Amino acid sequence: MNLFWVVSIVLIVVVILLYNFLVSKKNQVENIYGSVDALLKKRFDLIPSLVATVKEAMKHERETLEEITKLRSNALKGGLSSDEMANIDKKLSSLLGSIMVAVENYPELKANENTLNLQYSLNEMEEQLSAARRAYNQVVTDYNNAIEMFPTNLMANYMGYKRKQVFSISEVERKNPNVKDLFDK
Amino acid sequence: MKKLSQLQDFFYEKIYPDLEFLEIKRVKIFNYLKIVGIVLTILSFVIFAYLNKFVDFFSLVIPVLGTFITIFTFIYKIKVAGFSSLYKDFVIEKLVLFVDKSLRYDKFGKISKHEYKKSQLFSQPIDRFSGDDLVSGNINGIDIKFSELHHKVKVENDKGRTYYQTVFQGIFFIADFNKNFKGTTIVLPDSSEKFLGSLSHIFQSFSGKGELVKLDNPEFEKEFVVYSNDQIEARYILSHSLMQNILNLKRAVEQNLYISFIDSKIYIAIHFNKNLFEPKIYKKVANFDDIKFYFQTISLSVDIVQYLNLDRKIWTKR
Repeated sequence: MNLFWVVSIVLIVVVILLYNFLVSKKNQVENIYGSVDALLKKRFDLIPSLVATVKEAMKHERETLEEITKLRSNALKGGLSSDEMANIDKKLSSLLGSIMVAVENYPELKANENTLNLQYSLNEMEEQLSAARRAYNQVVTDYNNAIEMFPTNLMANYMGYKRKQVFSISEVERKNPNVKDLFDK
Repeated sequence: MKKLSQLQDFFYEKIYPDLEFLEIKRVKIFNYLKIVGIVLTILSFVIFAYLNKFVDFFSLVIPVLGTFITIFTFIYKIKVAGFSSLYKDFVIEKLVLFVDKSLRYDKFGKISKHEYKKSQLFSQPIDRFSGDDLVSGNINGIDIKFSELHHKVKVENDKGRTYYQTVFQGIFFIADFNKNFKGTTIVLPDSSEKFLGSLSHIFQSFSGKGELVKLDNPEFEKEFVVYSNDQIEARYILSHSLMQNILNLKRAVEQNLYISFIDSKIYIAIHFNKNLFEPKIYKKVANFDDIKFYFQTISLSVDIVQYLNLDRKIWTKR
């Protein structure tokens, strides 16, 4: 009889520990996602000023600018899952990157204080976003490991936890920039 | 960075003539100390033999030997300090200016205890704190300073005797960082990861230095362990390129590196575990290898700015 109680208590403690462990992993993901989301919104706020500043001069990039505006309004509609948001972020990063490169072809924009400020803000925002994405990816990896590894997977299955998608980090972001290569091109 | 061939020319043109003068001085001091040593030894024997008539042998050993060793140490320290000061004026200051003309050198100056503590790199109590050879200046628009520091802690052995143990001895470097941040991020050498692999994370998360930050550069993770009070900010500071640059710096210094990022400043401690920039009284001073080592240490400390791209703040900090 005594043995039955001991085993039962141990089992209950293990279940509670596993449950709390998984909840803490899920909350970590949500917590960091909150920061990523806040930074993504901050970047969305910059888009109208960017479009207003460069639209007149950048005639050849009109389509790209329209697409950026469309992505922004889609994202701001709300109700998007973290995976959908990750996709919008990926597209937006690449489009904004191409606009920033294209600015180099317009001397009047390069000389404009407003454009320079926007370039500075976007660059700073990209650096912060990149850090937030990396932090998010780490907690998502920990979370995914927890729900797939034994014995936490049994509990996760019961709790209905599903795998989450990580933010993809572009190759350019990963690479250590080499100034010499840029000049050699 | 100046090349070794340039150093060789500089050595023979500007430093060697002074070294010849210093060598004569050193030999004089060395001979003087030898004579003092011999005289004190003879004197201690004479006194010992005389007092032994009245007092027994064992009760005499410690007081007589102790007195003469103290006298010798006192004379030795005064003589060596004077010589060391001359060596720094004639050699180290010239080397510092050779590395970069804009640098300032203060042979008695050091990074303050307050700044050292602020780095949060070494949490042990500071029972003894000393340092010298402060170098400061502005490299590519970045204010830097570094000095030699020695931090000791009082410990008690099994028999209850206290002694002082070195916590850190080496070069301590401070510079402005090229990004603004509010939190604290600490990068320490990782000894456990090599043996325990990812299991080491379990132990590291209980260190009390902050939250463990797992980074996405396996090579960096193998060499260092990172703690921070802000997971996102730690990654904002430790970008992929900075992690690679820190690894390159580690390879260049070939010593353990301790780095912290606090209040938009970077603190780097390079642990040499020996006293730097001091001449040895029993060794020839006109020695190119010593000069080469000091030159490399100074220029590497200055080159931290380039290694870590601290001067790259076109977009991220204004």
